[in-house]
Amino acid sequence: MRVVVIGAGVIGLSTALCIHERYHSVLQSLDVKVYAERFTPLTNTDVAAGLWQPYLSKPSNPQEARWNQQTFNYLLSHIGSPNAADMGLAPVSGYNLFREAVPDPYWKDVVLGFRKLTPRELDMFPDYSYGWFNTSLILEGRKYLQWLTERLTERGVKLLLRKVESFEEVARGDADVIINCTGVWAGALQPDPLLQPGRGQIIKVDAPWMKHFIITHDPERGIYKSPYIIPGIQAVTLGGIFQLGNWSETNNIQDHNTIWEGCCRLEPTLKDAKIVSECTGFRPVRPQVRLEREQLHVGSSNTEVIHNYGHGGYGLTIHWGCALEVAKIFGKILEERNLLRTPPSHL
Amino acid sequence: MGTVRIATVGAGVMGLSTAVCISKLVPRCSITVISEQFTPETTSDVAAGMLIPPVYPDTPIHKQKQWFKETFDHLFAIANSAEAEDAGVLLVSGWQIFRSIPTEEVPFWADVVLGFRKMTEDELKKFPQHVFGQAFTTLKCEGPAYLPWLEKRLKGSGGLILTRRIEDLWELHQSFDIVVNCSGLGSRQLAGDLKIFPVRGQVLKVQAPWVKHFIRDGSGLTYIYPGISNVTLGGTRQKGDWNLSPDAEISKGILSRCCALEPSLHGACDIREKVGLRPSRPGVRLEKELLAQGSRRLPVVHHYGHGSGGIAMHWGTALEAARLVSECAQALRTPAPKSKL
Repeated sequence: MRVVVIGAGVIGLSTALCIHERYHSVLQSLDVKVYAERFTPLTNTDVAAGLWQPYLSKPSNPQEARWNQQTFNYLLSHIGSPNAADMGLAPVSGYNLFREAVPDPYWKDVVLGFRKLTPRELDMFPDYSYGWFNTSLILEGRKYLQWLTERLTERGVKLLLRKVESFEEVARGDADVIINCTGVWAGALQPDPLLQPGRGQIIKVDAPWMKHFIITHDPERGIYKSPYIIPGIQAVTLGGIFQLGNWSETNNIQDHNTIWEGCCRLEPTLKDAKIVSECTGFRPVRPQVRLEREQLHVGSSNTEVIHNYGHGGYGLTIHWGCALEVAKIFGKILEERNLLRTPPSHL
Repeated sequence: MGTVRIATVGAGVMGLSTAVCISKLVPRCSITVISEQFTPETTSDVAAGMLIPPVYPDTPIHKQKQWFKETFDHLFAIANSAEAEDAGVLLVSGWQIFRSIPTEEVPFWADVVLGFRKMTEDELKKFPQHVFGQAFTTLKCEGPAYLPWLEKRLKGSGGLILTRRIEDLWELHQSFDIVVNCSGLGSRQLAGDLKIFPVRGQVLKVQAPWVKHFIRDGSGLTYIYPGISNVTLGGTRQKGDWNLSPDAEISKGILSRCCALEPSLHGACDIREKVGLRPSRPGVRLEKELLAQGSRRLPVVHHYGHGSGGIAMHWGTALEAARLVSECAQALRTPAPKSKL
C-alpha cells in the first residue's frame, strides 16, 4: 500500500503521522511519502500564532466541532509529558474581549476554567465592556512541524521536495491513495471556487512579560480583523489582519501600522517591545473543511484521493480530529480492498 | 525648622519604597537612603515577588488586607502602563493547589486578586496528587527591575543614595532629624529586636519560557513562578538558618518537587541557585520610637519584619511608614515647650 500525502503543513504532516501510527502494524506493507513544495519554516502553519481557539459561531458542519474537541483533548493529554515543550505545546490563559455582551461559545466546556470577565479585569481594557477568561493551549506551528518531521522520519516516512502538477502524475507513478493536504493552494490541483486565501500578517515581538493571550472581537469587521496578542514560547505574536482574496505574499506597511497601533492601544506595555520578525500567510478559507473521498480513474486502476484542506484560521485547532477522520476513511478503503490483516481496533 | 533631614536605613524594597512615599507625602524634606547592600544584592532581589500574601499572626486581618490591597492597586496600575517592563511588574495567572481541603477555602485576599475561583474538576486533573485548588490572576513584581526603578524615582525627586554600613542608629543623629529603619534582619543589631529571625529560602532561577502559569502548593513549600526573564522554582523555609550559600542537595530536591508538578520543567536549562533570608517576625514592626541618650533625642520610624510577604505588602506598609514619618516631621516643626512625639 503506497500512500502519498501532498502538503507538509500541519494538516499534511499530522495526517501522515496519524495514518502511519494506526496502520503500519496491520498492513503487510505500508509506504507513506510526503510531497511538498514548501516545508517548515516556509509553510502557512509556520506563520500561525498557534492558539487553540475555534471561531465563535457554530460551524456549518457539526463534525468540525467534534474534530476541534478531539484535537484539544489529544493535545491536553500531552501536557504533563516532559516532551510538551519540544512539541511547541504549552497551556496558556487569556482574554477574549467584546464591545457588548455575546452568547458563550460552543467550545466553552472544551477549554479549561471558562468564565466571564469581572469588572476589575475589564478595567484593564477601556475599549471593551464584556469578555471571557479561559485556559487554552498554544501549539506553535514551527516547533510542532519540526516535531512531526522528527516523528515521521523516525518511522521511515520520506519527506520529499517536489512540485506536484496533478493528481494523475502522482497516481501514475507512486500512489494507491493520495491525501490532498495542499491547503490554500488546493485550487491548483483541482479548481475549488469555495476556497480562498484569507491573507494574514503578523508581527513577532520580544515581550516576555506577556503571559496571557488577548483577543479582541469586532463583529462588524469580522474574525481576525481586530487586534490580537498571543504569546508563544519565545516571542509574542501581534496580529489583526484578514483579507479575503489577497494573494500578496509580501509584508504591507499599512497592515504593519494597523497591527502595531491596534495592539499598542490594547496593551500599552508593548510600546517599547522589540520587533523580532514580521510575516505574511494565507489562511485556507472555505465555508467548511473539505474532508472527503474521491476516486480518480487513472488508466485502468482506481486511485483514491482523500481531500483534507480548507481549515481557514483554525488549522492547528482542528488538525488532529481531521487526521483521525482521514485515517478512518483510509481504513474503509483498506477494508474494501481486503488489505487488512486484522481490523484496526483503536479507531 | 526648615528642611527636615530624613535618613532611611536599608535599600531593599522597604527602604526604597518608603523613601519614595516620604518624598511624596512630607513637604520640605531631604531623603537619604543609606545601605550596605543595594540591588541586585538584597533579599528583595532573590524573592520571586509574587503577590500571594502570607498571614501575620500578630497583625489584624483587616490591616493586612488593607496593605495588600494598596500594594496590589499600586502595582496593577504600573502593570497596565508603559512602565511595566522597566518596573519589572507583570500579570500572571495560575493555580494554588492543596493535597487536602484547606480549612480556609477562600483566603482574606481573594477579592483583591483578579478572577479568584475554585478550580474545576478538569483543571485538577493536571495535578493528580491534589484534591482542591484555587485559580486566580495576580501580579509579580521583580526586585532586580523594581528596585532600580524605585531608585530612579527617588533620585528624580532629589533623594540621595549612600553606600555605608550602619552599626548603630545614633551614628545618624548629627546629620539627620528622623531615621527610618528598614534594615530587615539588621534590626536584630540596630534595634536590639530579638523577635526578628531569618527564614532561609533557597530558589532556582531557570530558563523555561513555555511556562506561562504559576503553580503553588498550598503548603507554600513548592512553587513555580514564571517571570519576565526566568522562572523561579522553590523553595525552602528554614527557620533560624543564616547560611547564604546554596546547598546542592536542596537544589536537587526543589527541581524534583517542581518537575513533579510540571513535568515540562525537565527541559529547563541555565539553572541558577539563589538564597535569601526572609526577615521574619510574628508581625510587621511599623511604629515610631523616640530614642533617647542623655539629652539627645532621635525619632525613629521602624518599618521591618515582613517575612515572606515583603513584596506583597510593601506599598501599603510604606505608605503607613511615610505617614508616621510625616507625624514626626510635624512634631519637629511644631514649636512647643514639651514636644509630644
